[in-house]
Amino acid sequence: MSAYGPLLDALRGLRWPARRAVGAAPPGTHRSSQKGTAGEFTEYRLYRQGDDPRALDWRLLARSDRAFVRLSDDRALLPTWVVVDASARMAFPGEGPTRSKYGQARHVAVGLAAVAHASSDPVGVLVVHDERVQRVPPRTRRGTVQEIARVLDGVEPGGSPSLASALSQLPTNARIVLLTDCLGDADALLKVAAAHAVAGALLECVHMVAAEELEPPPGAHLVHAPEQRDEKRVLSATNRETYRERFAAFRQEMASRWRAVGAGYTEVVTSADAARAVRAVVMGVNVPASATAGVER
Amino acid sequence: MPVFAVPWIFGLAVAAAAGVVGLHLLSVRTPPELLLPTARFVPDGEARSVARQPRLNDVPLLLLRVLALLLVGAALAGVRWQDSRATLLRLVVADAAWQSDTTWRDSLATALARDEALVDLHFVRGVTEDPGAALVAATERAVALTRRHRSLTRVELLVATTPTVRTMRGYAAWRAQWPGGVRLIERGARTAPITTARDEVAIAGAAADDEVAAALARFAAVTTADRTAPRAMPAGAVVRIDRAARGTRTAAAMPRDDAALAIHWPRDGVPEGWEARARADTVGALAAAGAVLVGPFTRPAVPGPALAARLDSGDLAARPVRVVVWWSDGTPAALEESTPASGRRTNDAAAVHCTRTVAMTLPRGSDLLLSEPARGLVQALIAPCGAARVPAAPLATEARPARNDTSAALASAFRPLAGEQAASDPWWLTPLLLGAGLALLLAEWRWRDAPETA
Repeated sequence: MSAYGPLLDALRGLRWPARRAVGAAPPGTHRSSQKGTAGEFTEYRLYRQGDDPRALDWRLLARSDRAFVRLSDDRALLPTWVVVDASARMAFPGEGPTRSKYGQARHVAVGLAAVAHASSDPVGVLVVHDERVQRVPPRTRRGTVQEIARVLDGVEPGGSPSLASALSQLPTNARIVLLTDCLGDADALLKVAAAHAVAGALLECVHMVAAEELEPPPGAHLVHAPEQRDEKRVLSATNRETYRERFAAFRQEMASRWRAVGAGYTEVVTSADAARAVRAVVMGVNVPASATAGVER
Repeated sequence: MPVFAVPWIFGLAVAAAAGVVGLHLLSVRTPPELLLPTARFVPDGEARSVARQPRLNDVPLLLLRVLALLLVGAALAGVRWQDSRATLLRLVVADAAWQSDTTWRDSLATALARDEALVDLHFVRGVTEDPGAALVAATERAVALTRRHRSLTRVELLVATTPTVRTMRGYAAWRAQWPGGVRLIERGARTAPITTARDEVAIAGAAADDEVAAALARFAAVTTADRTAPRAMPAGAVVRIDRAARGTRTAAAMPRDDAALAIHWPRDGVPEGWEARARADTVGALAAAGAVLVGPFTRPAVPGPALAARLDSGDLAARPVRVVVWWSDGTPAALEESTPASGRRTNDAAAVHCTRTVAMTLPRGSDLLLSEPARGLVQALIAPCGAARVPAAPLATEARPARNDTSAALASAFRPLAGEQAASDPWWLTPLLLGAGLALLLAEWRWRDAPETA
């Protein structure tokens, strides 16, 4: 946990409100779409059969001889799931001055969990790797963030798991943060995400991008993806610009498609400072390019 | 160092090896691999690229290929191994008697070892007798050395001998077989072939018109010619000639302590030890120490059985007899026999006492011995005992090459025909190199396929 100390210090006091009213849930800090009888008055409504008589405004009934019920906005909890992609791709780059994509995702996940936990929201984590899933259910008790950090630290990226199937198992009355490089089953994932969004889930996509993916090492290289070792291509000076253009177009497409399904989208580069990345996710903006982090895996 | 019988074949191998090196410089090679999750965004293309930097790749494979090519090329080119790159062979042939003289041998080798020439010192018996022996030995030696050392282009022959030799007949006979010039290296004191002084020759028993006395007076000079009183001959004469017939020989003709040579040349009749012919014949010519004299000489006798037996025994005889003058048909005309050692002076090694008998009759009043060609015959007859020698000096000047100024012979004259030159030397070098080259090619094939099977 000491590795995350500076990060958690930097995020102290940060709150993460829901971008819209949440559904029915236990009382919490987030504005609920449900109307209740909380102390903070919002509006009157004519009494209808079945309403709790205790909600009648007796003074108004006495003055106007009409029965009104006092209504107020409800406050609800928002369970937060942090889904971390731990496929073999996320281990890139294995060596170098910057963190791997999984390393950066781990820091961002711990930071987001800490922020959500500080908002009294139950927070849990789902790590998908090697065709297996490790999960910590959303909890509000003390030590949850540390437990999440331990689970994340104990996972070694590998395999090519399906995020879509993992996402489909999550409840829809929650905030789901996906930390992925969007290079896996992106289409299926977007399809499930769209269904969840329709069902009321709050989705956030944190697109993890390695700095070495943005600017590969100079010179000619025979490149291949971890899950496709037989499909090799030559990356040389002649096609490097084309590669950059295609990758930029892909990231732009991902941003559009995630936002189209009603999800938030934030691109986080591995060289960026994790605390600023967390703030960008919370506020729904991209991380500034100059926000680089020190070397800490 | 290696030389090649067919150098252009090895040149082809070298060119092929250079081509292989060039291909390894320009070859299309696979760039280093890089793990990149976003590889899908790299445009499709050939998974190999041409190296821009001229740097050798697959160096072990390149070495295998180049070495295999060179080995096979060397084997097919008929590689030979030789110890030096000298182009000139200085072949020195000396008498075997000087082989033990290491000082002279070393100084000679040092003096001749210049201009990166290969010096070969060869000792042969009989060079001081007849330099022809040197020519025969030199030819054999040159054949062997030029086959062993392919870089040799010229052969220079030097014959080391005494200033005077017994005869030049063998040399004259073999001279045409040597394709170049012959240089003479003299060893020993230069002495005149005839050292007889004017006052050392005496003749006895000669008539007033004696032909021999007249010839001696012209060529060798006779100071005393007491034709009637032989006893009056001077005591200091070292050559005494007795012209009296057998049975009437004077005491002066007998060898004495102060006489080195006694010659019995009867004007008429047969010398002692000779056997008169039933019928005297006329032979056209006489030969002695390289000199030939043609004339109507009469042959009155032939060597008797005892002399003939001693002639046949050669040096093995108790008292060796050798021929001084030959008839043109090969029979002896004058013989020399040594005096027993008991009768010699022991304090003068040069004074070898001997007796010569001459069976040759001259026509009365003939001037055959006065002609210039007779000089050699006369000088051979009165030469010191055992030293009837001729100068070897012509050896140095007569053998001039006809076509060029250098006296060295072409080495190609001693080499066999081209068909034999293609073989390697030693013979097992070609199969060894071929085997090694094929083994390397096999290793190259295995090496090249290894990554594909891995």
